[in-house]
Amino acid sequence: MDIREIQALHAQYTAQPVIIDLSSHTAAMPMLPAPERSASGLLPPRALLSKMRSAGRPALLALAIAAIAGAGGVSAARIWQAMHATAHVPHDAQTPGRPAPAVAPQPASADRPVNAAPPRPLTSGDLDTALTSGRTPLSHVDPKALTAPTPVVVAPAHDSQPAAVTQAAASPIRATRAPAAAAQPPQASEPDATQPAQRQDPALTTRVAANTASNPASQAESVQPAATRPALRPIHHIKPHREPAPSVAHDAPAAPAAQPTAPAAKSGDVQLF
Amino acid sequence: MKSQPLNVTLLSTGLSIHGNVILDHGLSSFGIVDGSVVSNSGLLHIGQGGMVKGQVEGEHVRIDGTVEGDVHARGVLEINGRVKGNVYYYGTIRLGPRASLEGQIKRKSELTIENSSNVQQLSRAAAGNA
Repeated sequence: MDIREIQALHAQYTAQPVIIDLSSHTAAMPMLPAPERSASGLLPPRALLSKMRSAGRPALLALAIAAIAGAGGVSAARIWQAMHATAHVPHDAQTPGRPAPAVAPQPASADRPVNAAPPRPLTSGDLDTALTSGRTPLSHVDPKALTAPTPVVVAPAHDSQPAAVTQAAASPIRATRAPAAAAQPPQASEPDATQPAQRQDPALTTRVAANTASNPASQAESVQPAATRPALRPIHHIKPHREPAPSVAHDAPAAPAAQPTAPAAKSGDVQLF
Repeated sequence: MKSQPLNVTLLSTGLSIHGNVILDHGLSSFGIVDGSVVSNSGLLHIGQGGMVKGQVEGEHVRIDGTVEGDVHARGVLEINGRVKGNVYYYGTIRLGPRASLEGQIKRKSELTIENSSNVQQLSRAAAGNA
C-alpha cells in the first residue's frame, strides 16, 4: 500500500469541514419572512382576512338567525293584530246594533209579559260594553215611557213609517196592555158596535189627534165615552176594527199597528205598571 | 473558510514503539507498537503487517493487521485482520474476509470510560514521555 492509497483511505474518513455562510444562506432563502415581521404585533393582511373570515361565519349565522326571528316576530304580530281586529269588529258591530234587536221583537210579542232582558243571553262582552259605555242591560227601557204618556208624535210616525220602525218604538210596558185588553173581550165587543159613540171624549181626542187625521176609526175610538170604562180598553179593542182587515189573519199584524193608539189612552196606565 | 489539509501520521514498516501513542489526527501504523494507541479524530488504521500490543481506541478504526487487546470505535469499525480481545463499537461494524476475532463484540449506546485510573495513567505516561 503506497502513500497515495493511504492518503485516499484517510480521506474517506476525514470529517468535512462545516462552513456557515449566513449571507449566502439568507440570499438563498429570500422568501423567508424576516424575524422583525413576526416580532411585530401587527398581523399581516392575509392573516387578518383569514381571521375575519373565520369569525365572520358565526357572525353571519347569528345575523341571519336574528333576521329570521325578527321577520317571524313581525309577521306573528301582524297576524295577531289582524286576528284581534277581526275579533273586535263583529263585537263592536254588535254593540251599537244591540238595542235595536232588543226593542224590535217587543211589539211582536205583545201578548207576552214585560221582558227587559235582551233577546240573546248575556255574555262577558255585553257586560264589558255596558260597563264601558255606562249602559246597563235595562238601559234600553225608557223610563219616560213608563211614567209619562206616550208623545203624540209617535202616532203619526207609526202611520207613515214602516211597521219595523213602529215596532222598535214600542216599549215593553205597552206590550203588557195586550193581555190586559184581551181579558175583557165582551166590553171590547160593545164599542165595536158603537164606534161613533166614542167620539164624545174630549180629552182623548186631543191626544190622538194625529191618528184621527189619517184614520177616522181611531178617532171614533178616542171619542168613546171614558166615564163608563177605562180609556185603554176601548182603544185597544177598537184598533183591530179600526183597520178593516180584509181577513181575520190580519189581526195579528194589526195588533202592533194598534199600539200607537194604546199609549194615547195610557195617561193613567202608570199605576198599572 | 479553507478546508484543513489532510493530517495523517504514518508509522512505516520496521518501526517499533514501546509505549502509548496518543494523537489528535489520523494514524496509519505498519510497525509494532507495544502499548495503547489513542486517536481522537480521523482514521486509526492498523495496516497489514502492523501490530499493536495494547488497547486501540479511535473515532474510525480499521484493522488489517493484528491487535492483541480491546478495540473501541466511536464511529465505523472495519475488521479485516486478527483481534485477540473484546470489540466495543458505538456505530457500525464491518467484518472483512480475513477477519479473525478472539473475543466478544459488544455495541454500546454511549461512550463511557470504563477505568478512569487507566486514563490517568495514560495521561501521566503521555506527560512522562513528553
